[in-house]
Amino acid sequence: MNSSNKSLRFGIGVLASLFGCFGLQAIAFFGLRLGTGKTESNYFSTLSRFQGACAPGAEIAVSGSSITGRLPGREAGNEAVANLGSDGGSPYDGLMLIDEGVVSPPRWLVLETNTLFNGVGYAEMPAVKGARGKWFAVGGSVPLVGAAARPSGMLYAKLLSRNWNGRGEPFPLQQRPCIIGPADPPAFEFTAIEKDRLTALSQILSRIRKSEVRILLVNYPAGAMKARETERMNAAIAILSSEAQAPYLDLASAIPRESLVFTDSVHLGPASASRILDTIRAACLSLETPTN
Amino acid sequence: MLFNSWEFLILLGITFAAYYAPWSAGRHGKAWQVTIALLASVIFYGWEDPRLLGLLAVSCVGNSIATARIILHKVNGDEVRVRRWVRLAVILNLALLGIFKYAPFLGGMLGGLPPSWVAMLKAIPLPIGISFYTFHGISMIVDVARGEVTRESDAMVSKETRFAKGVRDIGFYLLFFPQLVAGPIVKAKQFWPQIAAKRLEDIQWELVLRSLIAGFFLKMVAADNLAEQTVTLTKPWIVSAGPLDLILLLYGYSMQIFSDFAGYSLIAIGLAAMFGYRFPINFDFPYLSTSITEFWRRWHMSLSAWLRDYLYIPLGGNRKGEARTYFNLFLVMFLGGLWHGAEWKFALWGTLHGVLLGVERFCFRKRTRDQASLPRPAWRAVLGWFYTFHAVTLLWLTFLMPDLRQIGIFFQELMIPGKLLGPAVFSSLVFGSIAVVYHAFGWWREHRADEFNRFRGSWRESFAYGIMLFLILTNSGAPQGFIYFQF
Repeated sequence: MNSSNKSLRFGIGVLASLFGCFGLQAIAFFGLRLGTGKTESNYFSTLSRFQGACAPGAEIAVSGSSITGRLPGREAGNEAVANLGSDGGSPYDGLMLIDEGVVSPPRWLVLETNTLFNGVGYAEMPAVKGARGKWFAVGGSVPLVGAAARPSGMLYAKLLSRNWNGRGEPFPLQQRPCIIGPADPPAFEFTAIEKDRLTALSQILSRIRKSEVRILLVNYPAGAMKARETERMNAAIAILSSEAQAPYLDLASAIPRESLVFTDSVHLGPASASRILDTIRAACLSLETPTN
Repeated sequence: MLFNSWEFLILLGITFAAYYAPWSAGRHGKAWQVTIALLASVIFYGWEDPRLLGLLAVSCVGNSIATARIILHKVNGDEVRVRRWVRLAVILNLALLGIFKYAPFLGGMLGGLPPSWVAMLKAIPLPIGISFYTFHGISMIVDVARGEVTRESDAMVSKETRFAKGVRDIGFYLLFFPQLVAGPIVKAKQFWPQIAAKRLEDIQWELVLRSLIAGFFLKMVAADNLAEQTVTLTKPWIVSAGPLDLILLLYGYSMQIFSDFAGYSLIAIGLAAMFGYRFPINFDFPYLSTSITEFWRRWHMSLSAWLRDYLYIPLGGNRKGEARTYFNLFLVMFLGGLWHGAEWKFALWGTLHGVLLGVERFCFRKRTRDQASLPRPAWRAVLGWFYTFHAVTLLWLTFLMPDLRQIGIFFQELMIPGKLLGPAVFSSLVFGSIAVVYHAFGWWREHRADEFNRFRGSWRESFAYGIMLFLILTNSGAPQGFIYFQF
């Protein structure tokens, strides 16, 4: 067999095998619904949520860190919720993507307050850079090359056997979320980079509100914070809530920790995450319903 | 510009189309192709920071002038002047390396320097790939002086226009983008004879496809996925990892650095083949080695060969007695370590390899060449492999860690029971196994040559490459630079 025939045969074999693999992947992703937002990689877990969040029409977008990331969004088949949880990141990451138009504005934007200051002073999260890249856009349009369809991610999720669809009744809340501050904001001395972050958050929220987006600040039940971090968070909530006219919902105080299941000391288990999300949706609904 | 970026794919496409344009088959085909490749190389190198091109131009023009002068004096039989120009050119190359790579390091060490000087020295940027193109420059100068490169360059002395052509070809050798920033370190005597007009129909597509697919697979699927986890070893949150995590991450790093650099080298070989050039292989399944001596014959082979030809042998090699041989060995490995980076940790890494090489040389000093070539019993080969692989892997700690303190923390944490980190274990096992399977193929090729040759070119082989291509498209890791770009 001459050289060009050998090369041709080699090329045909490569292509046949490539399409065969895509076929198997399509069966796993579309048929067996093995697509996942929780992979072995923080980067791709985040990207899969971002990719899922890109399509317009979300009722709620939840933006935060990996704490938010555990809430079941579109990447887990929950079409109403765009999850902008950034593993190792902060709500700022998701906000930037909405602000830049990478992610369409939702009806409600739920901002995680636990990690408002995560990553201040550090370089931008790689996943945010990735979300601005070409491969991200391709993955958004062609699901098989998207982050949720990575074969290793599907295998990892299968090994963990996470039941993202575990549901239950939402937690009953005694109070509606309400706007707090700035009448009596807790005194707190922010550092320069913290002030910069707060200003940036304020500015982005103000721009996003112009698209008729309503904002809800939520403190998730996610383990104890150091005293300074708690004070800093409370002060920031008071400022943001007032400036962005955003009601605040303190789930950490409203829901007994014993009634929740965590996979570690910080992250919610699937069933608890579902119930927390349903609680947030109920809170948003209650805010849309006029009170007497 | 990274090989795994969109910008590079576009540049490659345009360069390839222009390189093999219909008029490239004409009388000036070689000039056209070399110019196109040179232009693409300049864009490739200057993409992120065009200021770096200035230094590259200095290296290129300086080496071109020196090469032309050496050839002129060589033709005239004036060996004194040849040696003078060689010294000058080697000093020029080493000075570039010294100023841009080692001055910040030395500035931090020398006591008594005014703080403003130290700050100035530390502010000198490290141009990407400087270690590689200065070694290329030295190789060219020495090969020309030794009379090992003569063909085209002899013509340079006759006319001014031919000098320009010579400069162009020298520039092409130094700058050719597949090898520019991280090798393989192709010697002038290997490259120059290949500079000629190339035809599209002569491309060995099987070689191109095999090299590119395997290279991108090793880099983007194995190395990049491992990198996201192994970074834990170098960070403060190393303390969150349990002993098993740490061990798996260390093995993972061993597989990562191999996949990263071997992947890069394969991509370089594939790209060069697209343009009609053959580069030497740079990695010959190094983790199959049964001694450190053998490891250095299989790992970064072009650097080992460069150090042997241009440093170890000129120092006297093993021809000046036992003591001098050991000294040369240590010195070469020490400098080889320091070549990787201007930090003591790299020197320590090189020196420790030198120590192991010295110990092996001492232990096997009575073995004759015939005895050495005899097949060893299987148990000795397995034992040798076990020692070599684990010694190499353990020594990667000095290469990887930011400082000795972090190495201390690593060993401390090995003693403290901890929880398993799922992603670290999963990635080390799944993506690390790619390098293991790759080496298993290497073992198969070396020990079951008949079976391997039947596999080569078969449908099964093309299917395997199809699976690799599929995983490149669907399962690549977060984009990372090549580890060796920093050197």
